[in-house]
Amino acid sequence: MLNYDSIRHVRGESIFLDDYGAPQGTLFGAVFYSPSAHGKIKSLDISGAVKHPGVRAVLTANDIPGENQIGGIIQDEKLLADTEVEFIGEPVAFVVAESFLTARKAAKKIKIEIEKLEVITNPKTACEKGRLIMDPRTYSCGNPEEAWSKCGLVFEGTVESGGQEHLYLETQSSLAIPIEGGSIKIISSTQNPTAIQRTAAKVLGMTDNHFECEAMRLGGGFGGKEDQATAWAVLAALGCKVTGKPVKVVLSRQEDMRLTGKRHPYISDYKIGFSKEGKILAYEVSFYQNAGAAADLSPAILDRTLAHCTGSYFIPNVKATGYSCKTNLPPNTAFRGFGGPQGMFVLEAAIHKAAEKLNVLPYELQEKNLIREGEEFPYGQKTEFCKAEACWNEAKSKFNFESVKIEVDKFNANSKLFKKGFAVMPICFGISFTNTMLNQASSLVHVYADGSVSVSTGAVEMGQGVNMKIRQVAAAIFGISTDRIRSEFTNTTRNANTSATAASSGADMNGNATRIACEEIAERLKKFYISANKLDERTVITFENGFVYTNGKKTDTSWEQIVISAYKSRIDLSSHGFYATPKIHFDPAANKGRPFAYHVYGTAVITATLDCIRGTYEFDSVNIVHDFGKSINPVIDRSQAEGALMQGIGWLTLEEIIFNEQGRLTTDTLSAYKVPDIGFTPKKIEIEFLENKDVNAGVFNSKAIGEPPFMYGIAAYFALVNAVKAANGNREVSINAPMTPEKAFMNIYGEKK
Amino acid sequence: MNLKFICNNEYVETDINPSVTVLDFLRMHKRLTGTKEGCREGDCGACSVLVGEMAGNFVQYKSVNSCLLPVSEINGKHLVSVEGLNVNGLTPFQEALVKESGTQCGFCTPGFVVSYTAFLLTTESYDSETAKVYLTGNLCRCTGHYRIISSAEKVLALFKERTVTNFTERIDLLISLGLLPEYFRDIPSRLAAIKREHRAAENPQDTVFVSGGTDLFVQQGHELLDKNVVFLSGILKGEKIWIEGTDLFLNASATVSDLENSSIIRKIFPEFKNIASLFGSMQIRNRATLGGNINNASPIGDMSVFLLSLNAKVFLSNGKTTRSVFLKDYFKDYKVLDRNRDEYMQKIGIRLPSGNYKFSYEKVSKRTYLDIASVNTSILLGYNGRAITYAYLSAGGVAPVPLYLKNSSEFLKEKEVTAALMNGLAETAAAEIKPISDVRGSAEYKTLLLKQLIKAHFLRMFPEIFKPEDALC
Repeated sequence: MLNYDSIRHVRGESIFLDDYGAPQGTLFGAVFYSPSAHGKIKSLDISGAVKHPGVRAVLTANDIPGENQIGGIIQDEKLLADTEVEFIGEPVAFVVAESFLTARKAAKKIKIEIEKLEVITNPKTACEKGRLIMDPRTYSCGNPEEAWSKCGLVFEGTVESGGQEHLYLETQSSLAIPIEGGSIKIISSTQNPTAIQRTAAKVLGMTDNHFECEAMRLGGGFGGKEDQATAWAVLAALGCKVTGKPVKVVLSRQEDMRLTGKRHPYISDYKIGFSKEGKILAYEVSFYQNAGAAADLSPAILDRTLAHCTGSYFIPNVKATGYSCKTNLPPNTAFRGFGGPQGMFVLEAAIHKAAEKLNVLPYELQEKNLIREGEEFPYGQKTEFCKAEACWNEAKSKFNFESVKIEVDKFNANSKLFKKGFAVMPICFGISFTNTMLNQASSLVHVYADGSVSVSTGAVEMGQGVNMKIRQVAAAIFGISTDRIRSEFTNTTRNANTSATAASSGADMNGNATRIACEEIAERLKKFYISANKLDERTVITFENGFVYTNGKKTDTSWEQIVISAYKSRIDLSSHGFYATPKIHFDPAANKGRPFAYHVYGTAVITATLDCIRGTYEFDSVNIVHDFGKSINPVIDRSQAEGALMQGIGWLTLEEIIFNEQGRLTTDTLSAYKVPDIGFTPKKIEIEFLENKDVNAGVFNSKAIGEPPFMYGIAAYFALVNAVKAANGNREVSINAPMTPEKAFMNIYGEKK
Repeated sequence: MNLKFICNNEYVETDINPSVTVLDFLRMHKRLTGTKEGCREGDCGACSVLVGEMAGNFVQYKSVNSCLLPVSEINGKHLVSVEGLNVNGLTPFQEALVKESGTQCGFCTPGFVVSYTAFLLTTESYDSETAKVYLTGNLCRCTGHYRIISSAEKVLALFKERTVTNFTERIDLLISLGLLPEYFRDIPSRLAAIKREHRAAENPQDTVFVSGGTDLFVQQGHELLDKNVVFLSGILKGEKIWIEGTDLFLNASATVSDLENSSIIRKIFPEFKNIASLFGSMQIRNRATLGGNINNASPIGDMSVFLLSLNAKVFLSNGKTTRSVFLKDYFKDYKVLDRNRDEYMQKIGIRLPSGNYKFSYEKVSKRTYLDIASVNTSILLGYNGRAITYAYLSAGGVAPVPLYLKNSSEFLKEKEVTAALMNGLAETAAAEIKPISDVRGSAEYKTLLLKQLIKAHFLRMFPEIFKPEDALC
C-alpha cells in the first residue's frame, strides 16, 4: 500500500507553512533574545528598533494583555523575559516589520543591559545547589538494600549521554491571521495545535474559542515541535493582535538551533548487582537530567526515563531516582524516545561492564535477563503478550550472534589498521502517554453525497505516514479505495482538545477514533439498507470493494449508490468518534500502575569498523528483528524504523551538542553540528518483521513505530566501544556519549588513564 | 541591465538586484516553492537546483545550492528547480522514492530529486557509489537515507548495457526513460539565442569581490544586498587550468569540480579524484573556487592546504598591475592576508613536480563527507630510491592560518625514508603547530591526530617500506 502523500512530496508540490502564500499585508516577526545565560535585566532600550524604517511594532513583556506564561506542565516559563533572563536565546522582545530582513535588522538595534548572575550548565552542579525543576522522583520495586548482600558481583559507574538537535529540515514557523471579532487563526508547524490555542488564549487574555489553530504538515518534528512550536505561534498571535495584520514568523536555522531546546543530556550514577550466574538482582540508579532553564516537558520525560530504566530486562529489586536539574540552557524538550533512551543506555553500559568483569559475552548476560511473560516492571505493570524473548531468539537464529563474534574476532586477529566491534541491543518500549489524561483522541468523519470521505483528527502529519494510515482505516471500514478518502489538516475547530501527536501514539489513537466514527456511519448505512430493501434484520451487511454485500454476497448496490440514497433519505453521513485508550491508569504518588497500553519489542545486532590510525568509523551492518504487531502499512513502518535507528545512531556517535561555560551553544550551524548523511548510512540494514500471532495492541492490532527503533542505536555505541577496545589493548573506555571520531581516537592515542 | 535566462521552461528577463539568491528568487518572485530553505549555509541541500550553461554546442548541467547562488550567476543560463523536472506522472526515481518510502516528511525530497537528476545528466558511470557522491550534499532527517539509496539503485537498473557518448544522446535517453521532461531537448538552441549583456565592475575601490560565494553568502548573504558586489566570474574568464612551460596555472575562478574533471590534474595528481569527494559536497564543489577558498583564509581551508603542499604562488591584480606572492607568505595571521582592498586573485601558479614524486592528502572530520576538517594535511615529496629530494608539507586546523610546515618540510630534505624519519617528522610537525580547542576538537586531539595523519601519508606513499604497525603508536 503506497503512501499517497509521497507523490506530492517527490514532485515538490506538498505545501509547508512557509510555502503557503501569506495574505496581502502580512507582517514579519523577528525575535530579540537574551545574549546572556543568566542575569537581571537592568534596562531594555527598544528605541533603535522602533525608529527603524519599516518596523510596525516592537513588543515586550509590557505589551502582553493576558498572562505572560507559556509553561505547560509547570508554570515557569515566560513568553518574553521581563526582569530576569535564564538562558542565551530566551526571547525578550518581538519586532514586527514589513519584511523578515527589516525585522531582523531592527532587532539588532535593541539594546539590553544585564547584571550577570552565575551560569550553571552542568546538571549535577545544579542539583548540588538545589536548583531543581521539581522534587526528585523515585520508582522502585523489591528491596535493593537487602539484595546487595546476595549479589556475587556489585559495581558502580557513571554514564553520560549528550543532547541532540532535532534538526527537522523545516524550521519553526507560524502565521497568525486576524479574523473578525478579535479572533485569530494561527497556522503553525506544530505537533500540538491545542497547546497553541490554549496558550495564545491565556497570553492574550481571551477564551480558547477565539483561536483556531491549524497544522498543515510538518517538515519533520521528532518531538521538537510538541511544546516548542508554541512560543513562536503565540508571538505571531500577539503581533497580530497588536497590529491587526497577519504576522508570520519563520526561524532561521541558526535561530532555531540557538533558541529551542534539545534532547536532554543526562549524567547518571548506577550501582548494579549480579548473581554468580549472571542474573541482575539489584539496580540502583540516579539520573541527573539537564532540563535547561524551564520545565517544558522535562517532568514527563523524566518519568519515562525512570519507567524504562530497566529496558527489556526483569530486575526484581530496583530503586531509580530522577533529578530534573535547572540549568542555564534553553529548556530541553521532547525528542523521539522521550527520556527512554537515556534510561536504557545506562543499564546497557552497566551490562557491558559486568560482562567484562564476569568474563562473559555481553549478549549472554543480556539474554539471561530478558523480561518474560507476566513479569513486572518497576512501575507495577506486568508484561502481556511479551515478545522480548521471541524477538531475541528470532534475531539470534537469523543473524547468528556466535558466528558474528567469530568473524569479528577473526577479522581483528588479521587486521592492524582496522578493528571491528559488534553489539546486540534488545528494546522494550511502553506505548501511551505516561500522563494517562492525554490518551484520548477524536475523529470527525464526513461522507459526502458523492461517496468521497473526509477525515479530520488530531494527528499531525510530519512524515510518519499517519495520514495514510488513517485513510487505510477509513477505507477498510467503508470497503472503498484509499483514493476516496482525504485526511484533512489538523484544526482545533474541527477537533477540539486534541493531544499532541507524540508518544508514537498518533496512528493508534486517532486511527481508533476514526475507526469508531466510521463504524458508526457504517452502522447507519447498514440499517438504512436493510430497511430500504425490506431485508431480514439479521442480514449481515458489509462494505467491500466499493459495493454492498449481504451475507457475504455482492449486491448491485455500489458505495456511491447507497451513500446518495441514504443522503436523500436524510441519514446523517457524518460522525464524531472518540477514543480513550482502555485499561490504563497510573498513580503518580506511588509511581505504580498500568501506564502503557502495550509494549513494543525488538532486537538489533550492529557491527562497526574503526580506522585505527584516524579514529573514524563506519557501520557495516544493522540486523533487526522488530515487533511491528500486525502492521497496516509495512512500507511506511519499515522506513520509520530505519529513520529512527539512524537518529539513534546519530545521537550516540556524530551528533555533539557543545555549550561553552557561558552557556553559549557553539555548535549552532549545520557546518558544526553533524547528523548522519548518505555516506554515513550502514552498508546494510535488514529489518525482519516478527511473526505475530497473539497480539493485542493499537489500531487493527498494529503497533506504534515512531520511537521504539530509536533505541537500536545503543548497539552502535557499544559496537564502537568494542572496536576501540580491540584497538587500544582493552583499556577501559569511559561511557560518555556521543562516541565522536575524536573520542574514539583519544581512547586509542590519548594519555593512558 | 537585465538578467536573461531560462527558468525551467520559461524565458525570464528581470532587473532584480543581482545579489538576491536564486533561492529567494524562486520562492518569492516566482512562487516556485518546491525548492526549500533548510539552512542557508549549503549544508542541507533542500534548496538544490540545476544550472545549465552552454559549453560548445551542448549544455553542461551542475547541481548547486540556490541559497548561496546569486541570481547574477544564472545570467544566460538554464535554471532548473524541481518543478522543472516533473513529467506527466512520476519519473522512475520519483516513483521509486514513493514505493520504497524514501520520502517521509517530504521537505528534503525535492532537493534529492534535483541532485539525483544532476547525477543522471553528468555522471561518467551509472553506478550506486557515484550516485551517492552526488547525494552527499543532501540531508534527510527522516528516512536515514537507506531507502533513498535503494530508490537510486532501482533506477540504475534502467541503465544496464546502455551507453551514451554525447550530450544529445544522453538527453534523448533520459527523456525516453521518463527521467527528464521533453523540453530539455530544445534548451541548447534556446540558450544560444539569448543575447547576454555584461555588467562592468563599478567603482572597484569600495567593493566586495565575490567568487563562488559559497562562504560569503553563508556569512553575509543579506548584507551583500546593500553592497557594491563584483562577481569575479565576470572578470576571470578564459581557461581554468593550463600549463605554460614548467608551470601549471589555475584560474582563481576554477572550481573544485573543474580541478576534479581536469585531465591535466588527473595526470599530475591522480589521487585528486579520490580526495575531491572529501571537499564539501557536489553542490559546493560545483561553485567553490580556489580563489574563494584561499581568500576566505579559513585555517582549515581544504584547497589552501592542498595548494600549500604544492608550494603554490598566487597572482593578485588591482585591475592595473599584477604581483605574485608565495601562498605560504600570503597567509599572515588569522583571516589576515597579504592583499590590498582593491586586489583580487587572478590565478595560482605551481611549478610542475620534477623527477619521481609522491603526493598524499589526509583529512579527518567528524563526518566523512560535507564536513569541515578537524585536521587536514597534504604532502608533495620528490624522491630518488629511498632518498627524499624535496618535500612540502602543510596542515590545516593547527594554527591561525593554513600552515606550511616549514621546519618539517626542511627536516625531510635529503633524508632516507625510514620509520625513524617518519616518527621524527611527526614530532617535528607537532612542535611547529599551535592548535586551539574548539568545536572541531581539543588542541591535544589535533596535535595527536596530525602526527597520525603524517604517518598515514607515509603508509600511503611507501606501502612497500612501511608496515601498518609502524603507524600505530
